[in-house]
Amino acid sequence: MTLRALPWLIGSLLLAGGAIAQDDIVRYEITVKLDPVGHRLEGTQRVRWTNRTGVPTSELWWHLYLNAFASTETTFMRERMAGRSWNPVAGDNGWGWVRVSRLELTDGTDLLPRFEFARPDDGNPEDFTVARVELPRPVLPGSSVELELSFEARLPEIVDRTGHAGDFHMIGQWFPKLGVFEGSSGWNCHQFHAASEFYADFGSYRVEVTVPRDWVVGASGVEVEREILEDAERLVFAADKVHDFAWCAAPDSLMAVVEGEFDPGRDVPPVWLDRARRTLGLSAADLELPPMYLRLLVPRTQLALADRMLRSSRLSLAWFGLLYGPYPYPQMTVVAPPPDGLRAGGMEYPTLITISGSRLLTVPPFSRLPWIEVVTVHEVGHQYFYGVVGSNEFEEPWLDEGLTSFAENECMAAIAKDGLVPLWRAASGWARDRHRLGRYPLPLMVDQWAWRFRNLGAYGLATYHKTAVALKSLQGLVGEDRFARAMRSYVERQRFRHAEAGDLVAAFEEVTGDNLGWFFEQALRRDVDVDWSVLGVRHTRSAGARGMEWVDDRWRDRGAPDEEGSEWTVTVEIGRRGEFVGPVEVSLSFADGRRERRSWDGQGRWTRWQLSSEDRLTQVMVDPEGKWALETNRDDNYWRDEPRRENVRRAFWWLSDTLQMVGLLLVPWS
Amino acid sequence: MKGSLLARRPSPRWGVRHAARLWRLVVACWVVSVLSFLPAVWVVDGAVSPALENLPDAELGVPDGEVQLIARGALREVVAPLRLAVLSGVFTLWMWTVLWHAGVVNWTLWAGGRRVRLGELLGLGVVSWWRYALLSLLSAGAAIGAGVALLLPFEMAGEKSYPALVEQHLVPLLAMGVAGVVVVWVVWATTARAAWLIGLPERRSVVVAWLLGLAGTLRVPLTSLGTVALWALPAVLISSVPLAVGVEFPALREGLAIPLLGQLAAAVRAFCWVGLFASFAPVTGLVGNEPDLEHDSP
Repeated sequence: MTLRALPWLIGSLLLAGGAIAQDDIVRYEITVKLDPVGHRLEGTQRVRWTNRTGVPTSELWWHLYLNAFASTETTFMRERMAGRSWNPVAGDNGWGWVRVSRLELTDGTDLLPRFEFARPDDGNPEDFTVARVELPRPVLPGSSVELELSFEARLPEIVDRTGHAGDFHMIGQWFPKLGVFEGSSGWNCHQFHAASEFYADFGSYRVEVTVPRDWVVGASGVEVEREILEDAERLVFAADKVHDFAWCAAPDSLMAVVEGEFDPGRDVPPVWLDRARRTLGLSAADLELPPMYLRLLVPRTQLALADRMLRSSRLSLAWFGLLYGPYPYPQMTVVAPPPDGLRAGGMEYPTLITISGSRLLTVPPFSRLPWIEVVTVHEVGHQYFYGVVGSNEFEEPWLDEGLTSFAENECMAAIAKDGLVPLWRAASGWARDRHRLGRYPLPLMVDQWAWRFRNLGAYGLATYHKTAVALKSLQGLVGEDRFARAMRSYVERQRFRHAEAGDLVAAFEEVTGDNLGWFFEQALRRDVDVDWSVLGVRHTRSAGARGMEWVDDRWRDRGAPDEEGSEWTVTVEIGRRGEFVGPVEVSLSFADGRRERRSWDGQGRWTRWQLSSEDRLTQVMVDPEGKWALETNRDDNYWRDEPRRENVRRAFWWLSDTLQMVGLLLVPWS
Repeated sequence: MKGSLLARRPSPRWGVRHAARLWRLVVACWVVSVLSFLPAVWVVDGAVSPALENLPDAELGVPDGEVQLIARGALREVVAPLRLAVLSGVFTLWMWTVLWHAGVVNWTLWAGGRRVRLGELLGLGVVSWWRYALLSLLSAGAAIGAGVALLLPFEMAGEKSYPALVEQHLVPLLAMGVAGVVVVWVVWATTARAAWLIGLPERRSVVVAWLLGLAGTLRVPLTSLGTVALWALPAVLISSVPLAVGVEFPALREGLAIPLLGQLAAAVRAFCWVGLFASFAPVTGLVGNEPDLEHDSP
């Protein structure tokens, strides 16, 4: 047992005294051996599953996700390759699979004859990623069933973050894992799709892995035991309150282990702590974060980047810890795959993330690329939105990817604003996401099952970027403080639970006190666009009536109006071109420098305001602060009395010189 | 004879004098370099002006990324004309450069350097324009070939991916980057040298002239590459000034300072290019035989 296991043990003892909740449904004890030459796994597994619902069930459903990489005909591969000539594996030895060779109850009842594959999503007969087994007797509410099984598996060449690249093995989605029993709705156990990976119950894992000697291993949880054998090494890892377990292994000559820690006193930027206190209305004591271990596995060729990788991890843990609550585990393992295995980079597993680096990042000016930081922040974000809050990534993928992308943009903006890492001044994540949205040719609906989008591009745009931008809009509407409090409340309430969209909406409505259903409905569940517009502005002199007037029983000429001294009547028309209905603010500026702010509920298609003013209106801005980040067609949001030529120069000051620079490089060849 | 031809050195000093004499050409180069890309600037301006001109004053500010968002939206509508305008600008500049290169060689070698009008000089260029165009394409091809040759060993090394390539061979790759710059300079020097050799009475073929140019460059590398560096570095640096000023001082972007700096840079650049090209005239042995720079070993 290592010292590192101490916090885990203490944590386990503390938790043991608490009530049984959604976080203690499954218990896995797995023993597995890696054959590094054949890239095979051979394992046995003891699983205890407790029925926490009020409905009995007489079957168990299993994920067998390595089978997604068995051929070009699996559902995953078909979706991944759709319309493209992408070659998933380089050779015939690159396919991956898993096979259950023994399955029985602990009393010895053989269940293998009752084990059959299921295709609940698309009926694809070539897909073997889900299986079900009939139990001889139902598992009643509150009772448990315990099984033992043996399995063998082959890891694919790395496809989408699982597999091997040479001697580097990233082992995710590798063992037969139970789906989620949802009571009267039955088992929720989807096939493996190109655009989603996760939905499983929280529980505890004790995993014993055997690898060749002089190999390094990174895994979910913490290492609690280590034994050196004759030509191998046996390591035991334990993880509680997690819903998956992943590990990686590589020769010591390829990957190095760098130990580190997160020390809040040192690693939390004071400016962030102050900001969090103000925003959340909490004391410094409320925001105190616990120290924890960091374990980095990095290619030896990238050791020079280790400090930067650890620093990114620490900053991420500080950001998420302050805003969404302390990271609830004693350790986080960070894996930077070697360059051949970069497809394994940028992935989240409970208490283990994979990032990506390159030696190029050690050389100026490439060293200022924010590559490491962006990936690390995103994956650490998933420790919350996916890890701690276990939403269903198949049915509501935006709940983890979108919330994480939102937090990533916010965190990266804070890192840049506060100058915590010297990075190139680049477009912010918000600008980038809005550009992406603006380029997409169709309105996008976010809240769909992951594989029902038009293609993977639309899936990514909707679940990652549109959701993030929608949340940014919500932040603009409810205010930064109320938004942050609602998000924190959502995480605290849904900690170690399966959260749904309704839980997020409920958290926002309770914290803000507002009815926000209209926003979530339109932003996420309908394909409507936000688009405001200044339809027109007119100035007329309000010099009084003209023509004749009836005085003393006869018509009399009113005379010429005194236009010089009269007021302007200004007519402003604002329109809603998009289908998204909501309130918007409008800023009006006058020639004397006066500014007026007006709100419009946006219920109709247009509104008209008539103002009296001694001065002409010089400027109109609809949504001047850009609170509606979802709006990407903003060119008609502005109106000026006198168009300002300097704006074009300000935006394109570089154009002429840059073009001439191109020409400059052409001349000497001629 | 050939040995002495290869050993002749370019003379930056002669280049300065010759460029000063050809001040009308320098002005013309400046004007053409600006005019070539004017259509592209107009296309961009026409597309974005209606939207951007309504944005508020700088001090009022706009949301993050707003200007880019609006500009990109506007530019999406003019992608095809913009591409055409940029390509036509590049093509115009290339045709023009080939023309004045040919004209300057013919005027220097055959008109004895007598006073000449710009039109007359360009007329002299028209006569052999195609040979110089061929030389230009040849030099571009040579540079591409050299680049491929530099990368070929890495391509054949058997790595599976470019990230792996970078990881395994970072230092050699960076060295190759430096070597690539040297190769570019060698090709520049070779092309300028060959352009002057084409004009000699022997009427060599373009390929032979280019090979002789290469041999001459390699025979006196320090002087040849030094001459290129002496002209190219100031040209590149001065051209970067307006962009650097704009990046560092955003407040200046709206005013006329940057466009004026840009025009100044364009003028200096034009002088540098004419001077660079003229510096190689002495390799013909017909003009400018006074010694310059340090001597390379033959």
